[in-house]
Amino acid sequence: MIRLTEISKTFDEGHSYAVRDLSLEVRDGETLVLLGSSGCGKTTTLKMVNGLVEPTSGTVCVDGRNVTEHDVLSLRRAIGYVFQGIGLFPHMTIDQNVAIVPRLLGWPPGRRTVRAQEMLSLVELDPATYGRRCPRDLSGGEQQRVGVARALAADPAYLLMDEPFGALDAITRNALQQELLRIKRELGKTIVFVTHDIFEALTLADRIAVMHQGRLEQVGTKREILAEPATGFVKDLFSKPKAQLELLAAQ
Amino acid sequence: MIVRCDKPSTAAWLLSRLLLAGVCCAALTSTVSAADVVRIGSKNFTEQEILGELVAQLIERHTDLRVERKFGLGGTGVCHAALVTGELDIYVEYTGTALLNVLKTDPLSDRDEVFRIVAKAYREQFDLQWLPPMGFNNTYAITVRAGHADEHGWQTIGDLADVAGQLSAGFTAEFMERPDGYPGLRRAYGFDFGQTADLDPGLMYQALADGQVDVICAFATDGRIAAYKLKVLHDDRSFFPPYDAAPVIRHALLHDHPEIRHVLAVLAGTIDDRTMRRLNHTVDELKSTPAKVARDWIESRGAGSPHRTSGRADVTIDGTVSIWAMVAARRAELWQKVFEHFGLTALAMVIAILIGVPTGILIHRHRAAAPLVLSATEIMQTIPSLAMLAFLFAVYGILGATPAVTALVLYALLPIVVNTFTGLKELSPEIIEAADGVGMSGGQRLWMVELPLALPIIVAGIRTSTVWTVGIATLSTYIGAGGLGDFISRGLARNDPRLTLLGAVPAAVMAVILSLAIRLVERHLRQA
Repeated sequence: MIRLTEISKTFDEGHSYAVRDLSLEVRDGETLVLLGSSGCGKTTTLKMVNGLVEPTSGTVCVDGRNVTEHDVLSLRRAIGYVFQGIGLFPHMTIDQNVAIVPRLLGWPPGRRTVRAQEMLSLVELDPATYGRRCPRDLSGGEQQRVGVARALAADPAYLLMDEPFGALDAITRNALQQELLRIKRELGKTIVFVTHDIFEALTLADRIAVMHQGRLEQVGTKREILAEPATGFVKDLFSKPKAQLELLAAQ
Repeated sequence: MIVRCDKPSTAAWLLSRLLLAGVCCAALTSTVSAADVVRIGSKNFTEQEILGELVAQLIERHTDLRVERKFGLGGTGVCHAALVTGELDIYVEYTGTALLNVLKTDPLSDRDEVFRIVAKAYREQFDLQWLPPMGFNNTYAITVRAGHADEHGWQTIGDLADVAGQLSAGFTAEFMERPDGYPGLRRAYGFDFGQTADLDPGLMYQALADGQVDVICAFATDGRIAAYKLKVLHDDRSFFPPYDAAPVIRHALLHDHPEIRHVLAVLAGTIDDRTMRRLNHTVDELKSTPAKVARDWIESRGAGSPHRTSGRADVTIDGTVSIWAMVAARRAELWQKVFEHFGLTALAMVIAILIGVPTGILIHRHRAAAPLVLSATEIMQTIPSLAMLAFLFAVYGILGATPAVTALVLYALLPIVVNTFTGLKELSPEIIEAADGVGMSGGQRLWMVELPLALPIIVAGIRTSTVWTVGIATLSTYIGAGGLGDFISRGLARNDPRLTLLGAVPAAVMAVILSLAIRLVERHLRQA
C-alpha cells in the first residue's frame, strides 16, 4: 500500500505550491489514476512516491514505511516506473534496456536475458526480432511497450506510469491501454497512472483522483465521481463529454 | 547527440588500442638511466653539436661507457641546470659565458685569468670540473656585410655609434638578454640600434647577407662569416670577454671513470679558431653532419682506431643530395624520431585524458567550480610553449620526457575538460531522469548512461587535443625530449630546409593520420 499524508511540495521556497496538503491512499492491487490538466501537480505527486522528488512537508509511506526510511535506490528498483518521454537509453539495445533493473539488482547475465525475453513477449514484441535492436529503430508505440517491459522486469509490486501513452496516436494508445489492462489482469500489480485524458482515466482506473492546482479535488470510483462530483471543478471536467462517459461507465 | 546502442564497446576498444600503442612507443623510446651511461649535452647550434659529437665519439671509442646524446638543448640555462642536477654529465661550455651568465661576475679580458676563476668557482659551487680549453675563442662578433662596411669605412664597433639609430640588428634570443650581450654592449658603447629582432642562431647569417638586417651577433668561429662575405668589427673597447671552449664534466663521473679525463685530453689546445671555423663551415655550408665532421677530425688526428663505432644513425653525409636521398639515408633515424614523437604525444594524451575527463565530470557535478576550472585551463593554453617548457624544466630540474610531457598535458587539457563538461551538460534531462528513476546510483548513472552518451563529444575533444599535441611536441627538442622537433631545430640551426622538412612533414602527416583515426572512432560512435 502507498499512503500519502498531507504532502506539500514547493519549488520556490513557498511562493507557490506544486502540490498542497494532499492525502491519498493507493490500495494493493488497484489502478489509481491521477487525473488533471498540465501543471496540476500530478506528475510531482507521482515522483514523490519513489523519491525522485522530495516532499517539502508531509509523509509518503510505501508498504507501511516512510520513504525516507527506505534506501532510495532499493526503493526505486522495487517500483516500476514508465516515463512520460519513454526514457529508453539510446545507447543500449532493447534487451539491455529491459534488463536494466535486474542488472542493477545484480542478476546474473543469463537470467537477465531470459527475463528480458519474457518481458518482451509479455508486451507482445517478438524477442528474437526486437531484442538486439536500438530504441531509435522502433516506432513510438513499440518504444513505449519496451518502456512497460522495462518497468516490469524486476517484478515490482508497484508500477508508476507518468502519462506513458500521451505522445502516441489514438489507435496505438488504445491498443496499449488494452495491453495494460491485460497485463494488470495477468500480473495483478498496483498501478498509479498519471493522465490528463478523461477517457484514458475511465478506461484504466479502478479509482480516480482528480487534481487541480496542486490540490486533490476528489477521489473515488468512476461511478462515484460521475454520479456525485464533489466540487464544481470535477463536475465541469466531466460534464462536457457526459453522454459518452455515461455510455463508457455503463460497461 | 545520439550514440549507436551497439557500438561503444568496439569504439572504446579501438581508442584504447591506439593509446596503448602510444604508451608502448613511449616506454620503448624512453631513456634508460643506467649507471654506465654518460649523458652528453649540447646547446642548439652547429658548433655545439660538433663539440658534443667529439666528446661523445671519443668516449665511445676509448671506453666501454654507453653514451646518450641530449643535443640541441635550448640555451646555457638549460644545459647548466641539467649538469648541476645530474641530468647531464658533460657538455662543452665557454669561459666567458660561464663567468657572466652562470657566475654572474664582472667581465674580465684575460683568457687565463677567466679560465682560472671559472674553473675554481665551478669546482667549489657546483662540484663540476672544467677540462683544459680546446684552443679556440668563440667570442661574439658584431658583424656586418663586408660591402656595407667598405662603403662606410667601418672597422670597429665604435664606428657604428653615429649611424646605429638607422641600423637594424638581428640578435639571438640569448644575446638579447645576456649581460655580455646587447644590454652590456649598449652600456659599453653607449648606443642603441634602431631596430632589433630576435633571430634563430642558424638563420641570422642568411638574414644579414640578404639585407634583412644590418648587424648580427655572429659567433667568431662560424664558417658562414667568410662564406657570406661578412665582416667582423673589432671590439675596440674590449667589451666581450674571452670565450674559450672546454668540456665541463660532473666531478662524480670523473671520480668513477677517471679514464674520461685521459680520453678527452686529445681535445686540449688542439682546435684553433681556423679549425673550428672549418668544421662549422663543413656542416653549415657543405651540408655534412656534426657526427661525420667529428669522426673525420678524430681520425685525422690519428686518435686511435675505433674499437666501437657510434651506435647512432646520424653519421650520414648529407652533402647536397636531394631531400629524397636524405630521407633514404636517414630512414632508421627518421623512424626512431617518429616513434619518439608518437610516444610523447600518446603518453601526454593518456595522462591528459586521465586528468581531463574526471575534471570535466567533477565540474559537471559541482557546477560552481566550473568557471574557475575552465578559466584556469584556458589560461594554461595562452602560455607560450617555449616559456612553458623552460618553466617546467626549471620546476623539475630535469631534461627530457618528464617536463615535455607535462607541458603537453597542460596544453591538451582544455578541449578534453571542456568537451567532457559540455557533453555531460547537454544530455537530455529525460534520460537522466530515467536513469535515476530505474534506481541507478550516481556512479552507475555516470558509467552506464552519462559517459557512454557523452563519449562522441569527449572523443571530439580528444581529437582536437591530439592534433595540437603533435604540433607542440616538436618543441620538446629544446629540453632534450627528442621527437621530430630534433630535425626541425637542427634544420634551423644549420639553415638546412631539407632537415626542417624531414621533421615538419612527418609531424604534419602524423597529426592528419591521428585526426582521421580518431574521427573514425567518432563516426563509429555517432549515428549518421
